[in-house]
Amino acid sequence: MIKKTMVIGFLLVISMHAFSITIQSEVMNTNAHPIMETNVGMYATFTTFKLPLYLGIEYAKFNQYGTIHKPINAKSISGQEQWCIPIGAFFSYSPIPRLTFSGIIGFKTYTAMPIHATAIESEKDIAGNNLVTNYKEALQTQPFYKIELSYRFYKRWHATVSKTWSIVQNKITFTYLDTHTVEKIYEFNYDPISMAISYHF
Amino acid sequence: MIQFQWQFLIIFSALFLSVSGCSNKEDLTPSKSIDQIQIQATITDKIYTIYINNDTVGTNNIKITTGILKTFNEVQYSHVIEIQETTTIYNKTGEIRTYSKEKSDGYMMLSEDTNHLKTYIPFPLTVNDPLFGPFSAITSQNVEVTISDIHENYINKNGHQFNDVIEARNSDETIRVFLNNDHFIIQKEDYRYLPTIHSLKL
Repeated sequence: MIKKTMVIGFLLVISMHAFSITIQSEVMNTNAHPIMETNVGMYATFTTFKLPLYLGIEYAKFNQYGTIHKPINAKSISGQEQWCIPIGAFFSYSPIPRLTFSGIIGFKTYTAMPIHATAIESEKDIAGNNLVTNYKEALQTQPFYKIELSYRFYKRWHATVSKTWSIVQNKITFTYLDTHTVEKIYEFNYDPISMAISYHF
Repeated sequence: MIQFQWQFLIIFSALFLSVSGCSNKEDLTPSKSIDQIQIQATITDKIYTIYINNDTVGTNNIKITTGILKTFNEVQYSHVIEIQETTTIYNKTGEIRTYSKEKSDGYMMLSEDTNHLKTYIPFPLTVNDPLFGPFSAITSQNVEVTISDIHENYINKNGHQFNDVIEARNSDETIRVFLNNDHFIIQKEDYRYLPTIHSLKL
């Protein structure tokens, strides 16, 4: 999936008719989100074939939140580091010369990074059967929505404040008591406010 | 002047919404209570059917022994109650033992872990009271559950009817337990993996 996204992104970039591109470096405020420890990203917005496109790469470090044995609010996610590729379309509007409002809609897809499931798989039932084996977690591709307020403070440099609405969907698969294959999907709302600096080429 | 009118409108609307929101709160005042649970009421062993996804996969036998002398953290306790659970599932058998002691205001749980020296079952039992004990199905994990309801009548998965039954759930509602004075544990339900139920057979 990631290879496909990278190939599509590369083809879009080389097919641009007008080289109008913005590179943005962004830090998300994760304080209000217990599942997220660190989330930073680099993004580019550009127009090709009159399509305003948004493409980026994010690093996300997730906190441990519950386990399958002891969920919190009936959910769980393991501590893990992920690369995420957001891709979508944007529109923007400038009511006054230095100020720009933007909206972005798209999808975020995650790498399939392995998690350490040894502790999870060590739990036994009273009879000594393995409670959980073949434990895996995979973050699913999900839509996101974002609004930005951008202010040009020096030549081509802009400072941006953004609000993103997204869902982190964790698909857990495992074998219960060495017999039953189980799949569970837990969803977490992740709606950070972020700060960014961008340069318009 | 118009600006102040808008401010009054916003403040009034906010007050109205907060008041109407409060009035919709559920009245959680407990109306029913159970004065006592006799863990040792039934001397004979109790047998539970274990279901996973509605399929019978094993049994759990609970044997209760009273009057035991037992030491925890170098403190000797007399008249201790031992709850021995023997579980057979997928042709494997194992057992756990839980110890408690009756006090005038309920049962305390006895364990080498000092965190467990707290009230196990507090009397009288009313809605919103916490219970702590071996309420998870097929594992030895002790869990805290909160009484969510007291039923005059309750029919368990094996089709047996019981009176004055306490229903308690953990905070995630992934574990549920049903108790009464005549039988102690009537049913344990665990939904963390697949629906796993221990249901008392009479």
